[in-house]
Amino acid sequence: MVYHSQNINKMKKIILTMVFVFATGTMVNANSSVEKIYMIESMIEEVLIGRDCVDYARSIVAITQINNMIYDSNDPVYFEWLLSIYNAAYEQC
Amino acid sequence: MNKILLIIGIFTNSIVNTQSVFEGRVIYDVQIKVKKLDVSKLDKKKFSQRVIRASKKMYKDAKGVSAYLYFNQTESLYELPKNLLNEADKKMNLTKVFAGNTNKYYVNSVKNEFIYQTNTTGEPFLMSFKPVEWRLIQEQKMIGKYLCFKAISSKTFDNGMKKDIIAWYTPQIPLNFGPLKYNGLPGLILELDDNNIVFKTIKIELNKVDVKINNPLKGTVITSEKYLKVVNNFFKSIKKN
Repeated sequence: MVYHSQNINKMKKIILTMVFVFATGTMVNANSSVEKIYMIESMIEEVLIGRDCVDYARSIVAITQINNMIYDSNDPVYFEWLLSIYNAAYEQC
Repeated sequence: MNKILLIIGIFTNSIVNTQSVFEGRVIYDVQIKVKKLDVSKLDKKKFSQRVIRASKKMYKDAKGVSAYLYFNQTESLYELPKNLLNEADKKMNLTKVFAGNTNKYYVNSVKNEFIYQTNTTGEPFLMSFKPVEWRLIQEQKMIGKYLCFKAISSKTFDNGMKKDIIAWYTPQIPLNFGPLKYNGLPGLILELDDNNIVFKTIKIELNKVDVKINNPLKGTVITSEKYLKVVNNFFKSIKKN
């Protein structure tokens, strides 16, 4: 068990190093240091945390609701907008 | 005798003209209203950078689309152009989603039919929708050669928040049709702002388009309450997973 956890930590270190090297190499186009940090963060996130397409699509729906102030109502059209966005985001995932 | 024939001729001509004026197609340019993602509104702990990045891109990629409103004396059909819907749908266009996507709206003002066909779930469903209630405002402006008047409809959400939908209609084309589910004004709607999207007329084709609107909508008839349950259950199921 200990051996297994040590191995995972080792793996994480290797991946983080690889991600960092890759990130610094591809950050030429990033304009600000904040952007660079975001890029590294998201790359690490993608490699280590993995991608859950349901969560991904759901989050994009939630963001659209917040940004466009689409509140709950009994209007099916509003739900359909969200469903369409969900479907498209899921496809993109 | 000649005078009688002339009067009959003028009378017939005026009837033909009057009738033919009331059929055609409005082409709207549809633009998304909120064009950028306001990151300050978001709780950054809740959303990953990847999701925020994808959402920013979604707003950036939201390109304007055209929408068609076919109409005759008694009926109208609102839809997006077929070529737009046939496009490879991998890149999401938020404007297309808000403008109705593959859904269609049919109105028959004589039979009081207000039907909405949805294809979002993959299966076509038909629902009736309630006509919007409007307040007529004494503001006016010209849209092209048409004198238009303002009308406002207020929408209240479950959280008590209110939003105004603004329409500009022209009594010069006295047909009570408009884009999406918006109709019921004493003239054709030439502009509409529904908070998420803005419709602007770019062309009105009178008598040039072959308008055959014969309730073209097909699908399983469902009440909006039942449909809401179907969609709600779907969202609940993805929240659980």
